This record gives sequence, C-alpha cells and structure tokens, in this order.
Amino acid sequence: MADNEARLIQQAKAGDRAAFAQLVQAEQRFVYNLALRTLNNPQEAEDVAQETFLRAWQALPRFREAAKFQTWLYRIVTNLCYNRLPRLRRDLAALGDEATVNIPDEVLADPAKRMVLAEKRGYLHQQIEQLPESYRLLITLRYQNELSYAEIAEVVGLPLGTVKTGIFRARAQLRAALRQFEEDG
Amino acid sequence: MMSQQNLNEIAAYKIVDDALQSYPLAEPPPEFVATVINHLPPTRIKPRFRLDWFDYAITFFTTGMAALFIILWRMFPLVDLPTQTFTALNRLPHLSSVAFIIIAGFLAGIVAISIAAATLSLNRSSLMS
Repeated sequence: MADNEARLIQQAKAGDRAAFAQLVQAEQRFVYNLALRTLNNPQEAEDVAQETFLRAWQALPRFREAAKFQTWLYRIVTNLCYNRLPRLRRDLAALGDEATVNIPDEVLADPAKRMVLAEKRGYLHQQIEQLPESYRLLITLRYQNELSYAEIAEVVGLPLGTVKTGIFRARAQLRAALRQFEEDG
Repeated sequence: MMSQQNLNEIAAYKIVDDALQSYPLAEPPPEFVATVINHLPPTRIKPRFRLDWFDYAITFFTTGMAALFIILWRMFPLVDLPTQTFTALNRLPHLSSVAFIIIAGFLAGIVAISIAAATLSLNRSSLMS
C-alpha cells in the first residue's frame, strides 16, 4: 500500500491526473470528514476539501518524500479551517500545556473489551457534535484519522502538550455529559 | 486497590472512547473526485529557482571565454584576429609543430564548444519559459 502510494505520488508529481485521482479517491473521506467535523457545515466542508486537493496538486512538486502524505493533506485542511474560523487557532493555543496530562491508550488497543452500549454511544455522538470546534478538530484527527499525538501536533502547528490537553479536556467534557445522561436517565 | 469510584471512572471513559472511535466518518458527495479532477488547473506551478551543475558549467565556460576574448583583444587588433592569432602562435619560440597543432586544436575546440554551449543555453531558456 505504501509502495503503491509512493508510486502514485511520483506519477502525480509528474503531472499524471489519473494517479492524483487515485490519491483523492483514497483520502477523500478523511479529508472531507475532518473539514466537516471542524466546520460543522457540509457546504463549507466540501469547499475546503476541494480546495485542499487543489492546493495539494499545485504544491505536490515541493512535497518531500520523507513527509507523510496524509499528514501533509490534513495540515492543508487545518490551515484552511484556520482561515475560515479565525478563533480556532487562538482557542487551540489557549488550551495551554498541562504537563500532568497523561492519556492512557489501552482502551484504543483493546477493542475486544470495548463496551457496547448503543444508547449511551448515540447520546455521546450527539454530544461530540456540540463540542467546540477546537476539540472536534483534535478528536477527529486522533480517533477518526488515527494520527498519533505527535502527528496531530505537527498538523495543527501546536506543542504536543497542548494537543494532549485539548484531547483530555474533550474527553472530560464528554465524560461530564455522560454523567449527566446517567443521572437524568 | 482501586476504589469503586476509580473503576467507575475507567468504565465511563471506556464508553467515551468507544463513542469517539465509533463516531462515523462522513461521506463526501458522490461526484467529489470528478469535481476535484475537473477543477485542477491545466498548468502546474513553476518549480522554484535552483541551480544545478549545468548552470555552473555554463557560467564557468562563459566567463572563461570572456576572459580569453579580452586577453586576445589586448594582444591583437580586433580586425583579422584569427589570422594574427595563428601567426603569433606559429612564431612562438621553441614551439614544435605538434604543440602548435595541439594548441590550435584546443582553441578551435573552445570555439566549437562555446557555440554549442550558447545554442544549448538558448534552447534551455526557451524550454524553461
């Protein structure tokens, strides 16, 4: 897969539109989803996703092979979202860097033990949409685009600690919503 | 020993993480790829300016030619330069005929290469524009 992607990137760099179309095909869901979850507007998300690929096509000759193509694309999406939501970068930067924040990863690595509670899950999905866009951007990059914290930090252009803080707070906000749901229910 | 409260918190965060992981990816519009490809600009942006070995070779050769021209110009009148150069070289003391042929060939080679280099650089400029 990586070899195939590297070959497609090389061909696209040389101006091969068919190769670039294959790259778009492979990444469109993640790019569009990231834009949609951040902007919360389908039309704007489509515009941003299209703009992302157009900019990628134009900047492809300068793309370094050492960089990860997906991370590079997500950085373009994020920058376009920054342009559309001027407060987004400010909100992210304001998260600060709490050194005590430590997010355990065992729940991610142990799908067999995940609890399947459809009602709570559905409720939390609604709550995710209510999170501030800065949190939505971070958790989409983490949980849907499956980037590491370091990669997210690179994409959003912020320190690693700030990224961890943001994801920690997003989870804490969802935890609080779940507690309220359980108390009400 | 973990308290019951801690266990409840861990269980709650597992539910939160499960919700985050199971949050569905949104589907882009059906014709998204075609739309993107149709909007790609016909020409790519020009590559950034950079020098490679060929540019240095051309520069070195051109400046060498200019220097040689200036030296020859100061040594001989500009009119009938080839003939006078030939005569001057032929009159140099202790110069054997073999050495003379080598020098004359060298100079002829430089002239030929300079013409070739000028032609190539002109073609290169037209390709880059």
